[in-house]
Amino acid sequence: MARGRSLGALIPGRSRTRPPRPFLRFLARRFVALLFLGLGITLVAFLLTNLAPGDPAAANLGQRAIEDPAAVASFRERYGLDKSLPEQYGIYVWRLAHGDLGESQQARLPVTEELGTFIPATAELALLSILIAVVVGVGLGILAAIRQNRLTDHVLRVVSLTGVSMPTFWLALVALYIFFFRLNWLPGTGRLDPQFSEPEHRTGFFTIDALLQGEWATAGDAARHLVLPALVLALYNIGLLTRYTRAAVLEVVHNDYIRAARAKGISERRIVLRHVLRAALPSVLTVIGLAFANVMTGAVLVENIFAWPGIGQYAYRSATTLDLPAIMGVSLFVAVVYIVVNFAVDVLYGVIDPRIRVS
Amino acid sequence: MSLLEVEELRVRIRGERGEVTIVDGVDYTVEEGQVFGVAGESGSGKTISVLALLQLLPRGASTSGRAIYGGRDLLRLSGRALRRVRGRELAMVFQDPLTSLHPMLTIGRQLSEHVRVHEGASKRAALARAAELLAEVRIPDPERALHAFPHQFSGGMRQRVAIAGALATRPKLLIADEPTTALDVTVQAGILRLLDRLRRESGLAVILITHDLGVMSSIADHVSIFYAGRIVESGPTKELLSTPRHPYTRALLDALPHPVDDGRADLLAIPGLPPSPRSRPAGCAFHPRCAYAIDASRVQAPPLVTVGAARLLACHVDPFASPS
Ligand SMILES: Nc1ncnc2c1ncn2[C@@H]1O[C@H](COP(=O)(O)OP(=O)(O)OP(=O)(O)O)[C@@H](O)[C@H]1O
Ligand code: SF4
Ligand SMILES: [Mg+2]
Repeated sequence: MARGRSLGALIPGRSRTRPPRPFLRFLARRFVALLFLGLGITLVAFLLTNLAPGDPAAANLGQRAIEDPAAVASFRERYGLDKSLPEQYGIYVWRLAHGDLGESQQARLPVTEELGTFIPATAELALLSILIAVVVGVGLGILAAIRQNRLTDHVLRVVSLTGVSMPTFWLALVALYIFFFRLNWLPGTGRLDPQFSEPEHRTGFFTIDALLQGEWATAGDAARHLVLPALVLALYNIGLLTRYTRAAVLEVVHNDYIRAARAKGISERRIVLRHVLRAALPSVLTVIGLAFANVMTGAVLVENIFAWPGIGQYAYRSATTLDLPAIMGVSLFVAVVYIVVNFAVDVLYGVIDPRIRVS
Repeated sequence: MSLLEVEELRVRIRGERGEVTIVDGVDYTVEEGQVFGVAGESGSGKTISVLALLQLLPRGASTSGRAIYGGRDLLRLSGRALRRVRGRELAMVFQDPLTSLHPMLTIGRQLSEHVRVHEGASKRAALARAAELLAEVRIPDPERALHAFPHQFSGGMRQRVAIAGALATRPKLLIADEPTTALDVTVQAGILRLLDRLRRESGLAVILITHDLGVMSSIADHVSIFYAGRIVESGPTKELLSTPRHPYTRALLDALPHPVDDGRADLLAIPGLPPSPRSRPAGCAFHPRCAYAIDASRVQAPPLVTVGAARLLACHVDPFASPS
């Protein structure tokens, strides 16, 4: 009886007659955990930013204003710095709950507005970079595994090791030097050449927005600007994914069920793509989750070197000027990305592996 | 012409400590519609010898000899020709039912994929046949089982699913490695009836590896006894089980409390240990455990020779020769 019930709940396609309750419950549990995690993160971020040594007033006010106690006091009052820390935190969370991240001390603009312009730029770069890393890295990993201990495998091992051990800033500089400065094949900085005007903002992805409006030349130029930073940002993840995919595939290949598939006369190609990869996917997915984290950190360097107007640059600028509301805004954004990626990975585990859905 | 003729089959596996001979010159033939039983102690090379037929040996294994099927040597097929034989002509049920199904693919997919690959059948047709087969192996609610995953079934059910998968392409020869060990008696009887029907109706031949003498005597036409990578005795089932002539076969049967009584008796305890392939005794590999060993047994391996109608024996002494 019990088996019959759980069967009905798990079989795809039957969910209309019987809702897949265990899975929904699983999602709900994860979601509640996320809310608490989010709150915890605001606290940690708040403490870290506010306990850091340095005086925001000194960093943000001009030389003259600093010497004027009244100006300093009004600056402190304006940003709530005259209140106690718990009070400041309470106010912060209260505003946050209303979608207000405060005003940046540098530009004197709402942080949400600033994030709104910088996030799409970073998202376009990061997503493309991850797409490249996944396609290339997983592909090379499979290739290395099926050519295990042969020349291809050895070459790929060197390539992936190089990828993970090359410092990103160094790679960025070399790429910039060769492809922009020397060969001039690709643009070096920014999102668009000056002769193009920004496409009307819809997704914030210049390539997509330009395509949506039929501005082919703009789309092409935006795409060309993406190539270098996206590749530089992808290289580390390509190395990582190659190595982990190779390991995951090799682990699966020796399973009895792969031998059983072979015994049925299914072609090697099909076995690798449908049977082996399917079983290796959870491990690969874990590394893809990691890739997001790597891209977030890598973006700070890459955006600064390629003058890419995204979150990485914003973070750098806010940190060097002790712009607390902006720093908090960036921290929260990064935390949300981590949380969302982790949540997505967890959910996808369940989608990929039917055994997980039960627990 | 026989369906399958195996000659001088040898399998060596390269390990950390050098190469070991696992299967050491095995000859047999399987006829259409025949159930060819294989028995012998654990580690005697039964599984390895059949994996060799489909070129499914682990890495580092090398094969020699011949296995002629349909005029071609199975050991030398490659590429498309090999894939056409695998699954379509020769199907295999593996020893471990818990690990031979893909944990993340539906049962339906695993029962229909090769049917579609081999016969170009439509998805619907392949799934319909899969459901039929699931019913034949007595999986309750087959339509629903098609959408389920292996972990939702017990070990015995998975074994039956694996059997259904092997039969789905209507192969000519089924290699079944301990196919009924995880099954209870009634289900086991059902599977044996199914195999029996298929061999009568469509001439299915079966190489049946089993420890279970009850199963063996109920369905096998012919039995070969493996010991240390060789066949030491073979013959028609009834005859071989009632008048075993090799001291090892004899010991196997004597080790049973009541031979062939409840059908659940296992080939087990014989004094001494089976030799590992790494340290096989010279001469007759059974001699350290044999009460009838003579000097020649320690020096020279006895050849497998004809000792009666369809009976073969590898023993210098032949202590149980019938007086006639
Ligand atoms: N991958 C391998 N590498 C090295 N040796 C192996 C490998 N697989 C099996 N062997 C060895 O080959 C010998 C024969 O194994 P095999 O599995 O054919 O025995 P079996 O007769 O099927 O036994 P059982 O009744 O336990 O299934 C054993 O000694 C085993 O240790
Ligand atoms: S050959 Fe010698 S050792 Fe081997 S089974 Fe016969 S009597 Fe025993
Ligand atoms: Mg075995």
